[in-house]
Amino acid sequence: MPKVLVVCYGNPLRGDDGVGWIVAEKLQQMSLPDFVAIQTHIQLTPELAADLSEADLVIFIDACDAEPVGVVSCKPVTPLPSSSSSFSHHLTPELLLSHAQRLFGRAPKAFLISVNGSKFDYQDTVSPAVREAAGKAVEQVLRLLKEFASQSA
Amino acid sequence: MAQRIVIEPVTRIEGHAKITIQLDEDGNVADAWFHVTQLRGFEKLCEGRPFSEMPSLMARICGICPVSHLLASGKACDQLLAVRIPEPAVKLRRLLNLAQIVQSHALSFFHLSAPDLLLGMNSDPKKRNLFGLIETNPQIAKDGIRLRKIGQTVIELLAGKRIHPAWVVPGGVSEPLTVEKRDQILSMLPEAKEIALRTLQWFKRSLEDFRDEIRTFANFPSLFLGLVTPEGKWECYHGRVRVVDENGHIVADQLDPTEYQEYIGEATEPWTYLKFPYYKPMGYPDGMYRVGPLARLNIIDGFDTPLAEQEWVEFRELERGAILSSFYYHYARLIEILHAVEKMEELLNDPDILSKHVRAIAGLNNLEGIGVAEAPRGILIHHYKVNEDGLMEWANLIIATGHNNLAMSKGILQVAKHFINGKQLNEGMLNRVEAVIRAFDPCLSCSTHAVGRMPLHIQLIGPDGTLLDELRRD
Repeated sequence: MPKVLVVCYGNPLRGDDGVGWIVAEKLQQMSLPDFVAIQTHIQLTPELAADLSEADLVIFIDACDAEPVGVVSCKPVTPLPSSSSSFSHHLTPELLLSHAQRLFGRAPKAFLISVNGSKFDYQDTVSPAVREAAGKAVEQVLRLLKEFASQSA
Repeated sequence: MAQRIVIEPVTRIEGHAKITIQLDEDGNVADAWFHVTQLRGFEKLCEGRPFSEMPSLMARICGICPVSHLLASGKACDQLLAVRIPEPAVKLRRLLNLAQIVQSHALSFFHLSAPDLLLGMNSDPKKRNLFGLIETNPQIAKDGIRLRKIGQTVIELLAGKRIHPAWVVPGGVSEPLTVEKRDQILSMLPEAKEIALRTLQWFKRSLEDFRDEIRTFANFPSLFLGLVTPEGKWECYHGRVRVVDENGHIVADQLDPTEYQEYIGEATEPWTYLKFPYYKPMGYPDGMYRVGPLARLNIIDGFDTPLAEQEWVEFRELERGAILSSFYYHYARLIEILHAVEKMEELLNDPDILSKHVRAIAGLNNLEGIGVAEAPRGILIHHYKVNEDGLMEWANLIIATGHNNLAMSKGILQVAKHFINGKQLNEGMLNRVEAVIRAFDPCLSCSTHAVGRMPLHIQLIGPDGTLLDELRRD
């Protein structure tokens, strides 16, 4: 059975950074197929590489400090070449995919859905525009799932 | 004019920091500072909230060690209820903390510091990272990920959600452990033990390659502070505070952790938002102490599990008194991983772990509560004050990274003096300065909490101590 992993990450106590958690909550309230698993994380950590390597499709959802606030974008992400970074405490989707490829021999097809935000100070609510954008991010996830299902059929 | 070298940011530690190294007229290191230019703001967010929300709220402080904050917060709230929680709940919380120690130490050792240890301090910085580790030592990288995964899975099985666990509640835990979950956790532990033992054997063999680092990585006399059992054994959940000196002699023992303000002071400096805790009887800065894995192995009389005890005896033979080099934090982490796995097995094989009596129910009975536990990086203190309605009025969190602040700064100066001079700068020297900080495994996202744009104060100090330049941004 194909496996889809939706990884929603960010700190819900840092204002708009928590939009991923709102998207996760919305998705969990839907009747998604059994092969879709949803995870929430404050930040990406190395052991996620193992989960990634077992999935056929991974959708990352994160906030982005960019204008205009509330805009949602979706782009494919691929593993990074090894010389691209010397950092490892802040992992990116590209780095995690690379770890999955190198350590476990497999990196899935992946997309990053970003929601533009502007308020990242200490608060446990997101700004209204970002809250509204969470719905658009959910639509993007559903679109990717539909495409994936039709390709897998 | 004296020169300054600024390394910013320090890579491969949680959060960000800045180091400033002061050179004298001859290009030699005169002084060094570890700056954290972020403001603690998390305590402010707590004000006005019901205390019952604190454990799950505090678990969101940090993506690396949420469980530590969850436990310290839960213990502070137990005090607000004025309850003694059921013994099975204590065992379950302890189990959770041990799993946290495994996964956090695994991240520090295998993913943040192993590149330095395996690829060498002078290796190409573009390859001295997890990528390089995967290419040259895939088994070590896999072992690290596997240990992380085991620790996280145990946390998830116990507490539900890995990063946002609401299982620890004031008065105990919300649900007992099932037989199925117990058996699932038990089935993973032999592999974790095997990884810990294998890595320990490799690390001990490689110590010879790091004689210079051992000699210079924050290798100086200091106090060591942490929790011990009433018998003086290693402790991570309850226990009393013990302080030992550089000779390994006990300076103070069985101190009540909830009376920390009697013996721990917090100094501030204008150049960093990170406070400087110190042992009050010796004053500031003489009361510098270290916490965390190295400190815990220096203060105890031993472990109560056989394999860790055997490793600890060998570890303590490195020196006559306390083990002073902070390079040995790495070694201590591996022994603690081994002990955590052994202890988890012991707890899970205790029939009491499946007891249904896991929570004491009570209302608000105290207006002040203090929770203390050992986080992976050292002793963690949560101190709350609430009003009659149970709403938070004040919170103070003293985080492990804060306790180590004085020692980290002194360690940076020591390693900078040894490896840096103005005439011969190279990447290996700079990386050693960063590596000494990574030995402490500071978690700055825990210890400081940025709130937007903060004032910045920069000073340029000449070799004679005069202020050459000053810049403020409000």
